[in-house]
Amino acid sequence: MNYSTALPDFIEMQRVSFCWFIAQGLNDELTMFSRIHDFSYNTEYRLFGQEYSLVKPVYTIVRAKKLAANYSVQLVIPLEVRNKKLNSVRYFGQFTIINLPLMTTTATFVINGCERVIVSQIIRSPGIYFEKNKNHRKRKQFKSQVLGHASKLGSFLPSGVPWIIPYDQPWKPWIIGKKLGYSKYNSNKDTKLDFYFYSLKSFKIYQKISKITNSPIKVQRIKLFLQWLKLNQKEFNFKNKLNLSELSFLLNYWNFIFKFIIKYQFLYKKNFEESYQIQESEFKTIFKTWNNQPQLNDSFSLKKIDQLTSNYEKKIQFYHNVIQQQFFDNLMLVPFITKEKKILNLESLANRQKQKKISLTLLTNESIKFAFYFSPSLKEVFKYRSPKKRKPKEAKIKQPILYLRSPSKIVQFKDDHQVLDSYKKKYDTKDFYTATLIPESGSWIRFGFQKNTKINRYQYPIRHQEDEVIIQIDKITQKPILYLLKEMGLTDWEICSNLKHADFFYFTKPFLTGSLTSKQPLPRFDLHSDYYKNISEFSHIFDARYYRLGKIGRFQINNRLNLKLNNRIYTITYEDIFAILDCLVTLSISKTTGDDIDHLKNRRVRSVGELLQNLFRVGFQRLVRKLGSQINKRESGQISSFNIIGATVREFFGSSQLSQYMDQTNPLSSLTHRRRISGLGPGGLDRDRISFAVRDIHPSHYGRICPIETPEGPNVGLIASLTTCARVNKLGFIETPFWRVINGKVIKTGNPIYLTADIEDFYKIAPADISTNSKNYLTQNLIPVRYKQDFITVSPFQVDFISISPIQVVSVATSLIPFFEHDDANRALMGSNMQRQSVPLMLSQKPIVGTGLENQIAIDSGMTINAQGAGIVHSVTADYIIVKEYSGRKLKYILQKYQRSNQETCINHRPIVWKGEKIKSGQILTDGPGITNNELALGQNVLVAYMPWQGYNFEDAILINERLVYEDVFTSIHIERYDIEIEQDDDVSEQITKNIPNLSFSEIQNLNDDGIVALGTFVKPGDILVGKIIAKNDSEQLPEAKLLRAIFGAKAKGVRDTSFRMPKGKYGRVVDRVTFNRKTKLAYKFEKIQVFIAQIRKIKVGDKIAGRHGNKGIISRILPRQDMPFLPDGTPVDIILNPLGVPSRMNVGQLYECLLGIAGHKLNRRFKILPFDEMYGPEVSRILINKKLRQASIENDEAWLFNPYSPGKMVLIDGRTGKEFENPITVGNAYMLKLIHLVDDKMHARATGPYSLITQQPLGGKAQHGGQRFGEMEVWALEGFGAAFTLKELLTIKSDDMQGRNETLNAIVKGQLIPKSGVPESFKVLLQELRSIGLDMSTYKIENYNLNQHYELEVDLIETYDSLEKTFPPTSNLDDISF
Amino acid sequence: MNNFYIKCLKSKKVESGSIYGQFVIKSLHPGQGITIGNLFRRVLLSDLGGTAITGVRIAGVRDEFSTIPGIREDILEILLNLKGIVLKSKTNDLKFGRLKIKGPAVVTANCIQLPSEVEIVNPNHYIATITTSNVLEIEFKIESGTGYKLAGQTFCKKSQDYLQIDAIFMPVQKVDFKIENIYDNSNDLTERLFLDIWTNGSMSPEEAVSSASRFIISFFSSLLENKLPQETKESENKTLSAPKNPHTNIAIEELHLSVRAYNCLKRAQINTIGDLLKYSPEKLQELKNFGRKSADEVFTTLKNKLGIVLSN
Repeated sequence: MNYSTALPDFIEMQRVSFCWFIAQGLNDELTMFSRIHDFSYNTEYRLFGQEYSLVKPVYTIVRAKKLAANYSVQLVIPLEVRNKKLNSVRYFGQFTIINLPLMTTTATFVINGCERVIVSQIIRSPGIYFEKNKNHRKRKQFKSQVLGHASKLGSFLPSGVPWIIPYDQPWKPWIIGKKLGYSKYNSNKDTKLDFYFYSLKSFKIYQKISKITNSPIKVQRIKLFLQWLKLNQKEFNFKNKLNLSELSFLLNYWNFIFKFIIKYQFLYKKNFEESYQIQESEFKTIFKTWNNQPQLNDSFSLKKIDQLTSNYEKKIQFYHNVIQQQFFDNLMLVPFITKEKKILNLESLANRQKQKKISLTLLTNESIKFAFYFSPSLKEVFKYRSPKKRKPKEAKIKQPILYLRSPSKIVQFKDDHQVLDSYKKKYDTKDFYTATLIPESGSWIRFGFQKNTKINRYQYPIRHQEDEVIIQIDKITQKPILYLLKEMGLTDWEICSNLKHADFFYFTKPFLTGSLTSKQPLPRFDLHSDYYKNISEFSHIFDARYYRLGKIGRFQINNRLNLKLNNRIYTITYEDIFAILDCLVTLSISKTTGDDIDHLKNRRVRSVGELLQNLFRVGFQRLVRKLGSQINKRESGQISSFNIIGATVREFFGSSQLSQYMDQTNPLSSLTHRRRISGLGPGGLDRDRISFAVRDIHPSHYGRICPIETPEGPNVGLIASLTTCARVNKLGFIETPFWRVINGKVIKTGNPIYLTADIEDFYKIAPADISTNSKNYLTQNLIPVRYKQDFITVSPFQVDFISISPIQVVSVATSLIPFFEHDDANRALMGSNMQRQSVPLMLSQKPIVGTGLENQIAIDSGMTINAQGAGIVHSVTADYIIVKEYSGRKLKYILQKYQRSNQETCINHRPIVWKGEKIKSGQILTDGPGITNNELALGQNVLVAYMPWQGYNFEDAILINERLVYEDVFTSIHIERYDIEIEQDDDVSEQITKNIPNLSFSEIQNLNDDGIVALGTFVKPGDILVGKIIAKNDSEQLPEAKLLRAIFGAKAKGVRDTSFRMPKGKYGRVVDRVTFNRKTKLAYKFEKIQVFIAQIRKIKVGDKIAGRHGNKGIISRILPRQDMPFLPDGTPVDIILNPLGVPSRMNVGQLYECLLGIAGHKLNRRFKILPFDEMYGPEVSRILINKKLRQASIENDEAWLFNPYSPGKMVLIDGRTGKEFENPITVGNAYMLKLIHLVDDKMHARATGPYSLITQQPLGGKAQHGGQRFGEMEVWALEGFGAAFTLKELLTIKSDDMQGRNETLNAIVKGQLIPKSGVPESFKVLLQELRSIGLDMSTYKIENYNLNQHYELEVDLIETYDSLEKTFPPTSNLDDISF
Repeated sequence: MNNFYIKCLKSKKVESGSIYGQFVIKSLHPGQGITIGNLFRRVLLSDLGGTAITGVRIAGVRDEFSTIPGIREDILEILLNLKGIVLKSKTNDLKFGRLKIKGPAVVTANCIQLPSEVEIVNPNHYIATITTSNVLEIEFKIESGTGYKLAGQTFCKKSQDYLQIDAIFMPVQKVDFKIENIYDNSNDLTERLFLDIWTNGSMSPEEAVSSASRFIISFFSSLLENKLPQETKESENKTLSAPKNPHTNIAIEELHLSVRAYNCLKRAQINTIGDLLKYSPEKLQELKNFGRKSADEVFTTLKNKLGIVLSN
């Protein structure tokens, strides 16, 4: 036995939270807004928040409920209004800021007379979360390597070149890119142009290949590529056949040229721009000359190239010298310069001949040059930058080989390439993650990746785009994170040195460069200083007023990012951002899973107190904004502005999603409502876009949130219930208790240890149903434990903790189900939900088979009266109990008699103590609704048989014995309230009176002089509750009356009866009347009258009853007791359930329950069964029941109770025939509940009634007195039967044919033939819709001219209804029909 | 037919006044056991009558949802307690009982003063507790009947002063029968029927058996006599008799009455002259909006057009 019987106070969470608010939370808010200025800063409002006081409520709870008022206190704060200019105090005094609704002792609020509950909210905790982008398509490596279709290369071709893809002449398919392979340029047409294409293509292909990081594939691809080159040599028009080495040289050559050009140029440009402005013009002229070359494709001859090259050589030489002079000691430049030197040397060393040779082989066909020019990245470079690059390229022809082959060179230039290569390796295949920073107040901040096309030219030139990290504070506002950091004044060096993954943002590491000028690392992306010169709205994220992490946020962030910031720092810091960036990049490349947002360590509960605190903050912020926008002119001050806080509070209590009308059907429902945890509401989830993951059960829910109790339907999983033992800690995380286990011994001394979800993951925790011996040692050798959200088995010595109770996992309502471990989860869910719907019965019984929680639920539900102090009962009557406490004080407890609950059930207290009885503090003095003798008693124990009976229990229908009717077994009391408003304004002036014209005496005999029905009257449908008359105005009067009035003056005013009558199908006894008066100058006038009507509802056919295991059904028939099957001792069965309701629903618990029930009934004993009893051995539940049945059969000497051949089944005898049924039948005592879905509330019929104004179709629903919808499928049925006339009737006069239905009604009344139906409105709508899409539709009337001829007459259907004709739609009142 | 007899095997009082009795009927032919047993069971359960409190009037109380000062129970609770009182009565007519007690006291069933022919079976049945010195005064209405009568079902006006209680008249709580086969010396098969009867005490099991037998006998004896009821003949006569008045089926539209009178008549479902003739002049004037003028109009037109004078 590992459970402790003492459970925590079930509504502690709510009460503690509210007390915290009153004691601390309110204070915090008040101090935060202690000084408020107006617009001019002349007036200062000072709130002395520390000295607030609460004034005793005006209305007590009972009076507030009765008078539809609030149960609230006045929050009074000393307020000083000070004129700062004059330094004078304008106003000082105790100022009532708001009326704060007060929580009752049962954790409810009384707002407008009805009890409301503020449901706790579960929200994502403030902190930082990393998530993998879900909808981001993972970039396919392969796809990115090969350019898709050849046609995409079109842009690379000189314009005007024909571009044909011949189909008849298929290209030899190339292995890498199929698409590319099939399209080829028509080689027969123009070999020269052909070459552009192929060279371009080959270049592109190579480019893709070279990006592949995986080296074996790379080699393979290159080989393939070379093969391809060889294959297509013809098309390339190479003069000679290229051998492999030449090809590879070609490739390397390309590769290097690009790299070098860019790099060199960058450096060059930088230095050049900085110190040699003059040269630029010169440079530009060159550029121009180069650029002004006629069309590149054909006029660029070798000669010109030579000319240019020599030009460049000179230039480079010149610049080189300049640079050398200037930056000789610039380390950064050294490699480049030396390189440059070498190139130049090579050139000057008259290697030109050799070079030419090679270049001729390659470059005689000048087109290869164009390949470079057309490369988009290059294009840009050439467009804006120096033309000089032509030079090095040619010069370097030999160089790459040299450069690459020498290991020393490679080492020398390692840094240039290393960074790049490592970047590619590191980041190229990264996943995309997003970091979401949730502050306590303020919008969410997201950090994510985004493609940036503005790449620093340092980069490998061919790449067009690169991912960078952006920060996003709302849907639109986003910017690169580097901008933000620089904007805040951080230097590149600072950023770089603080980031672990600086190479994601920077090419170089700062410490590798020692020079002055390149002290800063080189950013990967182009950062225009314009973008971060000004401080943008992003800087708000460091401002506590806009973004506040709060205590929890700081705690969570420190935890997640391993930071050690002071936990009083409530704002975001740079350190946070650096850590976030590092973590984000690390995650992206390591591709580990992100944070689990559904884990309970990342979700916290916001209870009443905190919600109220937030509310106050919002209210005060509104106030500050309001005061700040106005100037205080008059002396009176804008103290009235403080109303805004009250308005905010009122709005929250009245209409917030979390402030809910309390479910008061029975004590259990009100208790669970207060323990409910909603994921919806402001700041929570939006119901429309919620993934399944949020609704799912999570391993961390164990012992915290019930996996069973949640509503069915759209809210499934979003609204949950706190488990029995869970509690909410100060930070708002849910904790659940465990016993410590050390060396296999359960340490049960002292209090259990409460663990939150994040801590729990690190321990091996055994479930509660592990058996221990008397010395608290675990007895099993292998113990299943939960560890890091997984199940493993370990030896007892490794167990760290053990759960304290098997019902720790489930909610209060679920824990009331005995044997629920034998039920399917879905049915257990229904069972726990249906218990909340059960109506308190007039006579309720405690369950024979319970779970032992009934007592505590009854105590904590707040529906009983609990003694406030110990003492002796002095007197007990139905209205009050007086307890004489030991202190000598006499305390009078007033009982609630027949009060209406929110769900129109009856709340009634019945004393259970006797005079002279000793009372302990907290002891229950009365029974409440659904509470009998200190225990929850929602239903009745009835004898149930599982057998079919004449098909009357087909599809879950239920047969009951009439005993349940006449013995009031399932009789409940319902109290309805009717609000009757008396309108009194300028137009209408209603009066309540007994003097109503044209009524017989019997109709008004129960009204008092004011015209209100007397207490204790039994009212039937149509009876007057409040007699009202209204003076007829002119338009309603007959013409002759008008004439009379005109002649004789205004005396002849008539009155009209507007009395409030009992609605159809409602009856009952008037138990209470409340009148609300309004004081006018002369006298009191009635404003509103509430009449309470109580009715006793016996169970009847159509009512819904259910067991606790989700076995629900509708009563189909009530059988006389002699017809019911009876037990071998003559007892007729009470309820017959369908046995087919069990196997498919898998709620076997009901069978266990009913069998143990009958055993308990026979033994006159009750059982408390805690679920999960398998810890005592296999099949313990079954063994227990067999044992108890056998015991009962022996003790009562009734052998039929236990038949060893079919245990639990009995031979039943048919009450009608007296014969035994063929097979033994399962019979038992089950605990059944009557649910609040009663036929009386649902039954409804309509002949005629109101119609919708727009569609002219009948309204729907009982409340509107609507009709039954005759839907699509019903129409099909009629169509299937060919019931044409019925269908026509339903679609015309019974629906929206206005004229038709009026005429039909008149015809029926007059007894004439029913006229032909007209055109329904919906047909007119159809016509108009067809017209609206441009169809010329018109309607014609066909009339016979004579026998053979007929003519057509166009009819305008829309106009046929003449509004002047004054035939209004018939109402339910026949009086208005004119004949 | 040999002589059957019923023998009481056991008879004892179970708790709270209910009485248990076991009977046996021997030497029945095979198959007769179930015929008789089931018949007995069904008749005992459904057709025996009893006496019960059907309504109460409590001083100073209008409805069942109120309380009386100084009394521990509320009215509804008292009513439910009263429902449990089992009465034994010699006659079947309406009787009244009375209860008047000044507190402080515990009120039980034997405090009720009843007419001599009525007896309380469970005198210790708890009704209420009076804590203060208030007076509890109740008047009971006691009726007899069979089956049960629910309080809410009757909407009659009379119920206003009496608070109605569900009355359960059924004296038999539970019946069980068992059949045993007996092989006698000549190896003939006979049956033995055991009847177990639990009553609520207002009737002993023996009485229950005998009254059940009486019910069955009277039922079958009436079948023996087989007197056809005369009502059917009368109704046949009725249908046969043709309408005497030839004007009965004439619609009232034919009279060309004024709109007011016409509307009134229509509203009162008077569609034909026949319907109209069912109304006496006084009754006609009770119709809504049907004043003397309209009545006069109707009479004159009837007289003038059809020559009918309304009488009664």
